[in-house]
Order: sequence, then C-alpha cells, then structure tokens
Amino acid sequence: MLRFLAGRLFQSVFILLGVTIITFGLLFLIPADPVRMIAGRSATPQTVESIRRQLGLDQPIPVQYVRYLANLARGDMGRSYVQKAPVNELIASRLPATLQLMGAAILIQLMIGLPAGIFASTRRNRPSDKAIMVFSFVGISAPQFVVGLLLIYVFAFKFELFPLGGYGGIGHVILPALTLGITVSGWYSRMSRSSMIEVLRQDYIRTARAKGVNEWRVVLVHALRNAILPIIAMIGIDIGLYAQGIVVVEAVFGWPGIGQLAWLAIQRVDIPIIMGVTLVAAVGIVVGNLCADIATSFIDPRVRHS
Amino acid sequence: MSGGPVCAPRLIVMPPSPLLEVDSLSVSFATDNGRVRVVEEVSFAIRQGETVGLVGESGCGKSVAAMSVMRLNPSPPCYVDEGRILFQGDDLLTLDSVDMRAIRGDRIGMVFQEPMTSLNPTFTIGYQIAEVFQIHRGMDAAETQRESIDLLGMVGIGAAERRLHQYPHELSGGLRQRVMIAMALACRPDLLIADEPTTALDVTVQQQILELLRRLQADIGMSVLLISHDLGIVAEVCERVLVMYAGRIVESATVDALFQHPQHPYTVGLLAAPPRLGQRRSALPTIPGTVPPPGQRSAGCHFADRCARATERCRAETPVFESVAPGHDVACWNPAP
Ligand SMILES: Nc1ncnc2c1ncn2[C@@H]1O[C@H](COP(=O)(O)OP(=O)(O)O)[C@@H](O)[C@H]1O
Ligand SMILES: [Mg+2]
Repeated sequence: MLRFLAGRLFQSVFILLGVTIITFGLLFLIPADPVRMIAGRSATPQTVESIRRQLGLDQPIPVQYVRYLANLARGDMGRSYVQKAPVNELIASRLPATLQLMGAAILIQLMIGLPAGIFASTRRNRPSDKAIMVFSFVGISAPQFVVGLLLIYVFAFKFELFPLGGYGGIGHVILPALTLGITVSGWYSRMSRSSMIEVLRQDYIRTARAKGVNEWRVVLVHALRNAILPIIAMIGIDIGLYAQGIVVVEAVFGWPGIGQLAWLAIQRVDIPIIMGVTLVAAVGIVVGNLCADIATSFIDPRVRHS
Repeated sequence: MSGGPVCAPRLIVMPPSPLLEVDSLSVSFATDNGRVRVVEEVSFAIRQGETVGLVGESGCGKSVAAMSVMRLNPSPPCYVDEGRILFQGDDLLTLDSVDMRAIRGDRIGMVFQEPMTSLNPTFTIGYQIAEVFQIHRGMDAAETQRESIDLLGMVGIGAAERRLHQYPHELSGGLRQRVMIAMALACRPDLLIADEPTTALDVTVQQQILELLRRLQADIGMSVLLISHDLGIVAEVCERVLVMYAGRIVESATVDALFQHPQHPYTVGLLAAPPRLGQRRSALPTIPGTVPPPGQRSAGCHFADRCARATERCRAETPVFESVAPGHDVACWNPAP
C-alpha cells in the first residue's frame, strides 16, 4: 500500500509538470497581449517595450518557461502583473475561503445525493424512485447562477434567513454551498442509485438475506459498503470538475475565493495568476484522488492487499 | 385406552409429519412478454432427517423452486401464484417478514452455487459468520469468537483463528464453499438447502465438499434438499430423488428404485447420460434438444417434444402425478417398461 502511494506521488510530479507545460503553451498561443493590457491604450511604444522587458516577456518562450519552472522549484509562483503582489500570497489569502466552500458543498451534495440514491435503488421503478430521478435531472440541468439567484431571492431577500452574499461565519457559506451542492447532488443520487442497484443484484446480498439479516442492514451495511467505492473515486475526480462551478458561485455570492481571483486574472490576461490557479487546481485533483485511493483501501481489502 | 399395551407401538404406527411440505407451488416471472410460469404445481415433502435430491437439466426451475422456500426470489419480477409451503406447521408464504427472517439462517440454512461471489468481499470471514450468531442467538463477541472457531473446525477448516481475520479473496473456492456451509449450519438448522454446491468447484474439491455434507448430515441429523443437474452427485448423498423437468416434478422415488426402475423417459435419459463429475454441458447426448424456456412450453407433457415414447395423449393432456409403486410416483402417460 505504501509503495502504491509512493508510486502515485511520483506519478503526480509528472502530471503537474505536464499541466505547467500545457497551460504555459496555451497562454502564449492566445492573441491577447498582457503588456498592452497593463500599459493601457494610450501608452507609447517605448513604455510598452520597457514593461515587456521588465516582465521578461521579451525573452523566447522556452527561456520564459525554464525561468518559471526554476522559480516554481523554489516555491515561487511569480508576481501578479496587475495586482503587484506575489501570486503565492494572493492564492494563500483566497484558498481558505474556497476550501471552506468546497468542503461545505461536498458535504451537502453527499447528504442529499447518497440517501436519495440509496432510497431510490430500493424502490426501483416505483413512483418514489421515478420522482427522485426527475428531481436529480432537474438539479443536474439547472444552471448554477439561476439556482444561486433563486436561493438568494427566497432565503436571503424574502425570508432574510441568510446574508445576501459575502464572506463571514457559517451563515454566509450556506447558500453558496447549497447552490453547488444541490446542482451536483443530482449526479450523486444517480450514481449511488446505479451503484447500489448493481450491488444489490450480487450473490453476497442474497447470502446476507439467507442468513436472516434484516433489510436495513442488507442495504446500509452489506450493500452500501461495496456501492460506496465508485462514489469515493468520483469525489476524488470531481474536485477538479468543481472549478467551473466555483467560479460561477463565487461570482454570484461575492465569495472572496480562488474562483474570483481566477476570473479577474483571465479578464486581464494576468498570466502568473492563471498559471498559479491552474497549478493549485491540478494539485487539488491529485490530492483528491490520493485521498480517494486511501479511503478506498480502508474499505476494500482487495485494494489494500494488492 | 385402559388394559392395552402402554408403551412401544404408538411411535411406530404414527407416520411422522413431514418437516417441509410444498403443496402445489406455482411461481412465475413478469417479463417483457408477460407472465411466464417457471414452476408449475410442484408438490413434495421432506421428512425430519431425510436427504432429498432435486435433479434436472439447467433451466428446469430447481433454483427458483428452492429459493421460494426461503422467499429469496426477487419480487418483482418473481411471484408465487399459488401453493403452500408448510415448514414445521407454518405456511412460510403467509409469514410476515420478521418471522420469515427468524427462520432464515436459523431453522433453514442455504448454500449457493457460486462460492466465489457468495461472500461479501468487503467483510472478514469472521464478521460474516459472527453475524449469524448475533442475529439468531444474540451472542456477545467472546462467545461468537469461540463458536465461530468451533464451526470452522467442524467444516474442516484448519487454523480457524487466522481464517476469521481473512477476507474472501484470500480463500480458494473450496474454502469459501466450506465457509458458506459453516454459515448455513451455524445455528444447526432443521433443513439445509444446497443449490448446486459443488458445480463451480474442481473435481477433487467437489468430492471433498460432498463428503463433508454427508458427514455433517449424519452428525447434525438435519434434513437436506440437495439440488444438482447431476444424478450421480445426488445419488452419493441422498436417499430420495425428485426429478424436475420444465417446471414440473416428473418423478419421485428412492435412489435405489430410481436407478433400478426409472419410469419417466426423462429420468431414463438422465441415467443413460451420467455427467462425469466436473463436466458441464448444456445438452444431454441421450436426449435430443434442450429444456424449452418458460413461456414456450407446449400443452400436455412438456417433455413430449423430446420424448421417443410420446403419444397423441402426451401432447394434449398434462400427465397426472401417480404412484406406480409404494414411494415411487411418476407423471407420464407412457412410462418406460
Ligand atoms: N429474473 C428472471 N426473469 C425471468 N426469468 C427467469 C428469471 N430467473 C430465472 N428465470 C427463468 O426461470 C427458469 C428456471 O430457472 P432456474 O430455477 O434458475 O433453473 P435451474 O436452477 O433448474 O437451472 C429459467 O428458464 C429462467 O429462464
Ligand atoms: Mg440453478
């Protein structure tokens, strides 16, 4: 198991390296010029050139890349072109808010999705199953900004239960986390339903029933322990897929996280920040998958022993 | 009452009432093409301590019939249309789910065909055995541990204490089937239903498992319903045999009577083609064709299409299950001479 984890970590280094190459390459392929963005329309060619030299953007791209990597190896992600601050600091100040939002969203999505999917799997093709699947579909298809605005209108504006937006205590995180959680829980209820249905057909479930195990235990102990495995793997992967949702939800709720930072950086072609955020997201996916592997190995002895 | 002899005779005169009595059981499946009947008016009885075999080619409805006794067929799509299943005086089909669960694993144990997939891969052997003791006996951890070790010893698994901590994937097919048998026998049931318990195993392991079943039956004294597509296996373990074809019981006799005077042409065909241990095939060389799937079964005798002795009557009228000798019944209009 330890060897497996060490192997995974080793692999991750190359994945992250690949991510830097691709992002770097793409950023220099796009036609927008960051220097013109910084200098403004009225700047003279001399000013533009001196800024370009200052930022090192006059060098050939491979040189810039190697320079970037060398800094990265020392733990330095560079300085923002626009905000005149180290990317490290900018990300570090934003990361806790985003992690808080994601953690709450994952919790909500599992608290809604898992029970709904498990219940539906035991009521297969009956009205309650069909109703749950319809709701899941609605959740999946609803645009996140619409859900967010709806929640704000009902729970913050009409009933004044939660703040309209911004960052602070538990009250602030509930609506944005609900927005993410509700929309993603549709996937999870569908996935846990199909995973449970698959497991409930297995021979060992019949064995459990033949022993006289009651239906609750059959579903929540014997079946769920096996059915949860693909769901755990999915959570690990989903951490990356959250990126887009985080940007939208942070914008709707004025949540001061990485998503907002990235959104502003993209508009202004602030390359160091875009690179930094992409890298952090990639690290998030790698860590998410690693956590999923570890959790899986705790539950599934076949993984642990391989 | 007064004056007559007081002691011995009564025990001998009273025939013991059967442990299990299946009476006119019909089971069907809901499919895309409507209801299809898989088990048709099956009746049989098993006495206390009796070992009964249920044989027939694959697809005859043996598993569905046996699973009906445990009420383990998934519903939907499977429904019992009619019949009674009397077990120790209760009609199992009318019990509520709590009473039925109290019988499963305690008074009736069941072993299945696929040892590789019948144990939960994410729980230890010890956990899966302990569950039976906890459910039916309310034992604490220490007692459970002791009983589980005894139990594994009983089914011939050495180093029991270590085995309890292992997971199914660490055990061979034969060992897993022994664990399944141990779980089924944990509460010393009155009836063991073993559905093709050796079919998925290697030949040598098959023999070991059959010997184990025979020994345990003698030790515990339980009744056994052994299901197999192989008359040879049944003959090794059982006293009496039920032959099933296309959802119906077509012949019932003691092993000796069946081997010496088989009446139903289907039984004759099964006997003429003894499948060698460990060999699997879909068609019998001595009987042309295969079992017709449910829903495509002809009127009259379902076997008529494959039967060399079939007459007009066989195709028109369902044969009556009748006694041809004491303890020997057959459903055939034109039985073997
Ligand atoms: N879930 C199901 N849906 C429809 N038909 C089924 C289902 N399960 C079993 N059957 C049918 O029931 C018949 C008997 O099956 P089974 O009892 O497993 O046979 P056996 O154990 O004798 O090999 C088969 O012909 C099969 O097609
Ligand atoms: Mg079968």
